[in-house]
Amino acid sequence: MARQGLPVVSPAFEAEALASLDSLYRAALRLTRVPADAEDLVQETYLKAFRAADRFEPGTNLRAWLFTILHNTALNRARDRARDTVAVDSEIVERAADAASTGGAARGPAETPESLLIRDTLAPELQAAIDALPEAFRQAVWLRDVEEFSYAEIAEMLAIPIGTVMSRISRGRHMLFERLNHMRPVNA
Amino acid sequence: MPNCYKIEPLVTPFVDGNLPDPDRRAVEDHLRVCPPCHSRVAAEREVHELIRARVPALKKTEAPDSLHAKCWEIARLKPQVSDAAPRASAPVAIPSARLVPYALAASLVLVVGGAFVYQATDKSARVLAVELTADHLKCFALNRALGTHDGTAAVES
Repeated sequence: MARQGLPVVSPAFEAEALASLDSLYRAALRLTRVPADAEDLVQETYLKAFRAADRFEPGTNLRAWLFTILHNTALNRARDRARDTVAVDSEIVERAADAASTGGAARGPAETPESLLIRDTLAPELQAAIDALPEAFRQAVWLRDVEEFSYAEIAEMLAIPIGTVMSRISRGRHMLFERLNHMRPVNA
Repeated sequence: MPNCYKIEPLVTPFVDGNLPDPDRRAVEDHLRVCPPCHSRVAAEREVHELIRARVPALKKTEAPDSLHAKCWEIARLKPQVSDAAPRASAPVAIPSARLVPYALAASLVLVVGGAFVYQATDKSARVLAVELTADHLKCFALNRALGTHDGTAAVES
């Protein structure tokens, strides 16, 4: 019987793949909210990645490839378990955001001098605000502003159109702006 | 002059510096004459710059050492080649069909042996990694023997 062997993996590929482990873990924590589940998700991601190593195109973004496997795995798990942790219907997400927003797209932000937000917002406060975002917006903002993936890479990871990626980033950033500004003491 | 509706999808790439020059100039021209859009862009830019400024702190969360150990064990499942060897022609260490029963037996020994030594200590991470790899060895071996494509759930106890 013809046999499919396990793909060979060079030490360089292995090292480069495993170098993303902490980033993948942070992403898994944002997806699952439970450290034990995040660990399982990361392990499954690496299992799949090393099994499919021969399908990785050398010269392309290995980190983005791993993140795509992670997000697809999380999506499949969520569908299997029928949990509410991953937004499957992007339309529902967008409509929920519309319902939750306090104004339309053309509404201006609160009157805050530009420098205050950066000067006064510490990392723990920002992390809490990011964690409080709805799942879809949190992922988009994090993948763009923290992990610096391109819109096309994020679209691939989250299995959504590029236009939706940009829309979610924009809305996520605005939600953060509103939240962080509401946490400020009111100026006299 | 483009109106707000046409500018809106350009705001995020504008903030991120990803617009081609003609589009960027169009947005800048519009922002000069449209205070609501100007405020919207300023807010989005401020949050973007805040997050960028806090990235080192936001990236401080690290995976536990036990997870690092498990993932290195997963990597050890694979035959290794040197970086100089071309992938396409690299030899692959594959057990032959007649060795499948022995591979199954070996993996069962690993699992049973691992179960006896399992304790909630620092070493449990390595033992868990052994159990995990044993499950996957069994899965791979069974699939090859039976010509199936089952996941590890088929072999996990």
